[in-house]
Amino acid sequence: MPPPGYTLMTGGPFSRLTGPYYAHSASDGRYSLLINIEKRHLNRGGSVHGGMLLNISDNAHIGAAQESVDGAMVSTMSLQCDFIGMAGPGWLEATARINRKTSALIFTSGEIRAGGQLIMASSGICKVLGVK
Amino acid sequence: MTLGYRPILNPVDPFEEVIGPFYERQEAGGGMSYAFQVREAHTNMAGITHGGMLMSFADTVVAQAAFAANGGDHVVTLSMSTAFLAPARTGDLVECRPRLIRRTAEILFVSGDFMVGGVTILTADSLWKTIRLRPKTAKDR
Repeated sequence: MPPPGYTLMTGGPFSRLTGPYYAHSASDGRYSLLINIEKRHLNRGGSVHGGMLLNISDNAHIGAAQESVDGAMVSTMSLQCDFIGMAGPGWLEATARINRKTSALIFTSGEIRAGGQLIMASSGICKVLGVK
Repeated sequence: MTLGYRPILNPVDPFEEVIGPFYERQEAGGGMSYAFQVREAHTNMAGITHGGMLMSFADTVVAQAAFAANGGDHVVTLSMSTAFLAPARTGDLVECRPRLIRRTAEILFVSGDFMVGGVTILTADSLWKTIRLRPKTAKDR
């Protein structure tokens, strides 16, 4: 069941394989994702796999960018992620916001938190597809 | 999987069992190459490989290189910077031969170019922190 205020994130096969993700778009343009981390998301040390954190960040940046365009597709061009903390099973919240938007490019920044503790900080550039 | 690849020998993380399998190959000139074949389950709504899948493979691959460079001692990711140059599609074989760029006492710099059929689709540059599991001796201080 989605947490209150969140809806199931629309996604393709890979997001179904690694999710479910629950999404919420705030009126100020901030985009949030919630995911309940389970054993299948972990590394051998019992923490969330670094690849899974990168994957969550990508989903958050793309989600924020997608919300800012009218129906056009967006695609990640670059993503820079800092691994600041570790997290185990339980809810993670990823947020992303737009720093600048041109007709073809969207600059985003984001973070992942576990119970308020910062786990990952990230910045990205997305391309709006179909715009030269 | 052919081309001399075998399943990765090091222990596989639970998340890698979900998104894998990943393969490795010993290169004649030293170092290792890594590969995975894109499945439909790796794709996004646009029908191409999800960026998160490519980054998850990248994280795993550069981790293997950092782990090896650290003599098998534990390493943790500090940062990962990825550029997405071209799409990868279902059936594509994504390959990478990661490179140790520089090492200091505490930090490893590892990069990788990820290729499909000789074309670079993604570049990854990462920093790793070495974790000393053995207790420090007086000589180390």
